[in-house]
Amino acid sequence: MKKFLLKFIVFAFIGLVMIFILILLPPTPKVSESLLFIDERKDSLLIYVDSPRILFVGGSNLSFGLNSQTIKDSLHLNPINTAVDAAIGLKYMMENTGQYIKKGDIVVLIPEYHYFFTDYNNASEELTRTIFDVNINKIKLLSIDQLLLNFPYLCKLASSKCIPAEYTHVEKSDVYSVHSFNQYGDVYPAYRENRMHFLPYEKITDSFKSEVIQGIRDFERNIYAKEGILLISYPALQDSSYINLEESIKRVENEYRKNGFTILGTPQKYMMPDSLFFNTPYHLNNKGVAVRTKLLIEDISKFLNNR
Amino acid sequence: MTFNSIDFAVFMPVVFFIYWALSKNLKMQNIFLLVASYFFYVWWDWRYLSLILLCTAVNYIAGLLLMKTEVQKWRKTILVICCFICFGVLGVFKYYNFFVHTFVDAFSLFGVKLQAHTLNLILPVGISFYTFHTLSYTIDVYRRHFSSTKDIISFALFVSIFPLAMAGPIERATNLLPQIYVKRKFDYSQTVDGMRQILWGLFKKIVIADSCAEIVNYVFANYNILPGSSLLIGALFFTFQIYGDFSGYSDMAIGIGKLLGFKFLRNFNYPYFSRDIAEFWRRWHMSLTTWFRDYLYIPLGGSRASKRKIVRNTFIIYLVSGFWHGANWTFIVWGLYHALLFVPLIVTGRNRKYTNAVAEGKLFPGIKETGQIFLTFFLVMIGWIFFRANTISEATEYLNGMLQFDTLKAFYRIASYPVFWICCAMLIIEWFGRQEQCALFKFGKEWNKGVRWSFYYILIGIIFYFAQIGGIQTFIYFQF
Repeated sequence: MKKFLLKFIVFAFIGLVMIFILILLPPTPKVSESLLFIDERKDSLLIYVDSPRILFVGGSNLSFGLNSQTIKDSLHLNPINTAVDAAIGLKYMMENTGQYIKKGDIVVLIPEYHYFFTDYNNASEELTRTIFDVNINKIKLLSIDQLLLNFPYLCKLASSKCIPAEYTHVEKSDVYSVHSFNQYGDVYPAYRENRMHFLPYEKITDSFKSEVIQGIRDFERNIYAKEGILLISYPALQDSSYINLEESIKRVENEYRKNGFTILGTPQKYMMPDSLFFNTPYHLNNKGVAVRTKLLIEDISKFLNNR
Repeated sequence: MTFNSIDFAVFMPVVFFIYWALSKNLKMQNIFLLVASYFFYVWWDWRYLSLILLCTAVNYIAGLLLMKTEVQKWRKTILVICCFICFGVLGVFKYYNFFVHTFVDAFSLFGVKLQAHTLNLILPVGISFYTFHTLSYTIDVYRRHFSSTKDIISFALFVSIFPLAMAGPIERATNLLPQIYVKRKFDYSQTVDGMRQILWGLFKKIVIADSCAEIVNYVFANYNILPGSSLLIGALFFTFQIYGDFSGYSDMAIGIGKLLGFKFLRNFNYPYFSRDIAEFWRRWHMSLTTWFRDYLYIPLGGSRASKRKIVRNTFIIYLVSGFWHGANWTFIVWGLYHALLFVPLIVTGRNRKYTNAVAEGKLFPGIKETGQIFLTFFLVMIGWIFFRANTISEATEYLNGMLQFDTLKAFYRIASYPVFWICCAMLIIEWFGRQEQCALFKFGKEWNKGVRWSFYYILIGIIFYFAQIGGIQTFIYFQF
């Protein structure tokens, strides 16, 4: 047993050292092209864009679902679309944005419904890459739980740096690329035109995670401490997916109300026909973006007028 | 919790250390392993546990009664009741809806419209495996091949031991129970072999099966609009997928068994190097094939009966085997197809022609052997189309779609799929390691430590690279 344990420990230790060395290597060309690298540019927007500002926080439902120029023209606020990819996780998004809140900021949080039924301390390849490939300083935004949960992804990231295809097969995606975003952080309209085949979401069977609501409360507290405002709205969702998720959506809506958040609109309002979507039940095409932006402006204006 | 999940990566070391820490007390060690096995099973769904407990209780009591009774009539009655309960549970959970639908469809052919009252039941994971696994004990006790046990802990552990609980190998009481009775000693080389087998199993599951699955799922979902070459590629990758999935699972199960000091039955012996269908079935899902041989084929007369009876028995075995896999006509047709491939070998007396290792003592097979291996592989691949399709008409349309001139393009198109080259690499590794129970044993032992460890690090790196960590694919055979 001793011999086995000793050899196993040595084997694992060498493995860990190799992982450590590999993650220190620069990101592969394939990864450097990915949309995750927009994170740095979005951080610059959060630092340098002047007040009065309106910040949109959420997953790809926002990066693929907003026309910030229209928002700017209608509301006369400087918009920043912070959304990158839902897989990065709501916790990271809120904590990252929370660092850059300025006095008077209006923060519109639009979490996808699925966040409320998955682990708040999420782990994903996208999150691991955002930290270890894009900006290692952001490791402070992860909890210990998250670091542990992300360990398998760290091994994946390390191994990817030894794969020749990561250096030779650099596919330049129009949509999921660091070059896909405009000056506000929206995905360029030209990349959302052709409808692709996709299936609606199925019913969510996982239980509701109340720690997500707690996380939003903490985010709200942070914003108010910096003299900003938090508004919460609902993601645009394909109608057939909406029907399948209805029970879960109602649960989210009730929790928002129960916790006294300032809410814009209703889930039904943002339920949209299938023809307005592009490649997933959350990603809008150009027509969809126009409709959704109009609805959002309507709701934000109503709030601003009643203030 | 599957063997390729993070949960299991936490569960297994904890079990391993506590298990060996208790090695001085056999009873405690067995109790701990039983609790761990139930925990593993409950992780899926606590409701499933009641069925495994029922199966344990029924077979345990049947074993005791069989030992106490000498009257043949009563012994037979006990066995029949036990089989009735075990197969009854299996029938209700797995086959009830299938029979209802078949019954309704049959009546509709005569213009009688009946309403189908189906049950909304979830199929408990591994039910076919542990039912067969446990019944082997009762049948062996009935045949007096084995004495029944009074030790309920050992028996319960035999039924539910966690590496085998989900998808076998289907163990025999004669092999496993004696190992449970005696004190296990930690054996360094067996443990290291176990680790190697787990590593190879993970490679086959995560790198081969899960990568092939993406292509296969797309092709089978769109078979009606895709060209013949894509359909052939889809069928080829499913052939690799199912092998990587099931033999990968079996390797992991056997490897985990070795870590715990057990030697489980072998389940695969490089089936895609078979030279005919008979050899394929001696190498594919061996624990099920031998189960059917011992408990169905031989009681029906086996190979000692007339040729007509042997042919009949072969059809029965393959039909039952097909039906065991699932409540769908596609599995029955798959079984029938294999029976049809088997019959010519029986009629010509060549069904046991290839019992030796392929290309024994040679580096490569001869031209004839190569041709036989490719032909058998092709025939097996055609059978997998029925296995994978949702309906028989879908399978026949798929096959029709492959009968095009375009299909030939598959031979050069396939080279553009990286996973094809990984499948080839797997086959090469398995070819050179084919004399061993696990291909990695060969590669592990002969090299110096630095090269060997580097090879393992590369394998682990490839596994992580291909791993879909957040959305782990379950194993195909869990549904059976």
